[in-house]
Amino acid sequence: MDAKRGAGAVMTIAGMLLFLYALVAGALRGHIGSKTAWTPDAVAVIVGWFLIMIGPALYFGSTPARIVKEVESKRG
Amino acid sequence: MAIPVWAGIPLVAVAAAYVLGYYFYGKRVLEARIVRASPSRRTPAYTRFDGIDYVPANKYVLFGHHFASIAGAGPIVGPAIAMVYGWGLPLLWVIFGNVFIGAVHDYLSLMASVRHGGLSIMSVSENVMGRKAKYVFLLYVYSALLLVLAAFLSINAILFAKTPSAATKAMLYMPIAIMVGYLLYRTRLSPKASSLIGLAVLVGAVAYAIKVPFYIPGFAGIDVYHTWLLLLAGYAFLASVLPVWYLLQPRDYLNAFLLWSFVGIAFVGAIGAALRGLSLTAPLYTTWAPKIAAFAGQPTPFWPAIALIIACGSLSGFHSIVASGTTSKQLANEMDALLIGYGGMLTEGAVSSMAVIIPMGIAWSQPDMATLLKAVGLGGKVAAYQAKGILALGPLGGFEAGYGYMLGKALGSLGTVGAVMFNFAAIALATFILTTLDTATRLTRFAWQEMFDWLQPRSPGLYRAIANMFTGSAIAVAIGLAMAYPYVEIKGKLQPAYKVIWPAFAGTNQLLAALALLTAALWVYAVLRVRETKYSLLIQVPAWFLWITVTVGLAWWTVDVLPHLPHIQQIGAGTLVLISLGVDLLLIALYVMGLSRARAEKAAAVSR
Repeated sequence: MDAKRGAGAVMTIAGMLLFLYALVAGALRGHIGSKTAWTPDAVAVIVGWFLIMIGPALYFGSTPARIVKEVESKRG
Repeated sequence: MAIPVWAGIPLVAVAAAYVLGYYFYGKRVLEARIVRASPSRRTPAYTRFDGIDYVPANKYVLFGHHFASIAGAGPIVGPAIAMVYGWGLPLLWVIFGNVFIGAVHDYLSLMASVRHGGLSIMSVSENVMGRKAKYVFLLYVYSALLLVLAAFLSINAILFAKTPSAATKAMLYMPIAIMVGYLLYRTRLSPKASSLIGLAVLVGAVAYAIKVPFYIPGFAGIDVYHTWLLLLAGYAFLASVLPVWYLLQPRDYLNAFLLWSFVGIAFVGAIGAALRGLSLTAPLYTTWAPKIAAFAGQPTPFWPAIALIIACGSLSGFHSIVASGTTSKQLANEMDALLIGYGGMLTEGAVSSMAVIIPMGIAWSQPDMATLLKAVGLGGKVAAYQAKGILALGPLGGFEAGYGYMLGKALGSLGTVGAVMFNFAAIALATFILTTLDTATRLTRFAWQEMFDWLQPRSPGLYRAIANMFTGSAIAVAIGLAMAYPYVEIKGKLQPAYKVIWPAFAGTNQLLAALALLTAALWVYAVLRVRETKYSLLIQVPAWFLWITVTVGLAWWTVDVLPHLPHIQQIGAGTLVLISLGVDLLLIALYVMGLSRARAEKAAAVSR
């Protein structure tokens, strides 16, 4: 696994854990975050969100084989 | 003229116009006779495939993307404001504009771009109007897109700050979209199974979002609005550089279900309302020139101002940029284009007609509206509604209340079904708004990259540095942020800086529609060589009608509205409108020269 894929995997796993923590905490409290102070769940959901957006893109990297195959078959 | 009209009459008129327009005008004339679309001609998604922007998409996925991108708040707010004329004239403008102008404009922009390797309609203009036209057009559109970007950054930030459930939904939506993309493209699951899993999770996410709002307190001394603005800017940048198959396609595939449900439920509700004998209690016609707050409270004549009031719901220049920007680069088959381009516009028109005008017409003045308003926590607005009717709730409140009322009466009760549909309307609106933000960022990047194409052969290294996707998106987001972040005082109230020029946007956007349609009309005449008078006129006449309407509208706005705006907007918006009029005249001169050249070539060919 190269460094880019490794970083992507770490970011994806970390992002999912942070995101899940925030969702569970939010469900228990009835809301995520607070109007007056930064809470761990609010930080977790934002950081997790960005990590989930970037992580899988780095991990998977190239275009899915299904799409590439379709393009190549049409190009002939 | 407050004569109650049975809801079935406008419903049948809208449905008939769309079905007939799609099959007879769209399919038989535009697709078969004018563009001569062919399933065997390879599209840029294949010929220029790059795995980032040029990627073929399933036609329903692409329909979802196109529809979600072209539909911002425009198809809702514009018709809601136009109800001040009564329901007849706005409905007529929506139907006429959709079938003969807007859908033609969107479809031809898409096909012109597809036949030019996925380049924007601005770059297509080079082929028919010359190189000068292309760069003037590109610069004009780039500036307009920056304004759209600033506005949608600001609107989303306000929405998330004021409606924390919308923020929760947005946070959940993107990871779900990435998951659906993974299931669709990288597992052996069938598309049906992937979709069902995605939809089940999405329904759960919407339910979660309604119950669990997401609050943030502001950051390092800045308030909630500005914190959201910074977060959204980060999102817009990221979403605009990620490959389309990764986030945009699966997200818009999911969006399509939500948005089709929204339109489908409105259609079912309108049928139910008609079957239950409900009537439109709004007047068919009020007056030709009512005073409208959005136009500095000045008397606003239906023509030409209606083109500036109802934009996306009838026709919009922004659509040509989407059609010839992200959509044309993902079109897998020329035969999909009619559904996406022409059908997408009709669907957006259905939002205006069936989800806004007909429901608001029904809910205009109803004694039992108080039940719905109290059920959704708007009991404080009951008195205003009873005194002034639905317009007292404002454009967005009027839309939500109209949608909820019509469906509550048609399908159940106002306190339960009506209240749920009121909230569903708000969620659908939030979905329209967020997708427009990142598509606008990607489109601004495309315009930036095309503006510098002259540099590519001269200095490839410099071109790569200036026009790569990261630079292009970063510059767009930075300028958009700079326009949305600072506050300025307008009418004694602090407002985001972009609002200094925002009053000019409606005219700028609709002028773009007129110029794009003229470009497409010239492409049809000069490049496709469709020179049978009846077919050529079918495009030329609506294009010229729109150009005259918008140009007269801009002149009316400059004379009658501009002097009544606050001083700072007179300078900002006034300058933009004057620039727009200058660009308008320059491009129309280049258009006439292009048309003369094409006619001379035709005459020479005939004489040979």
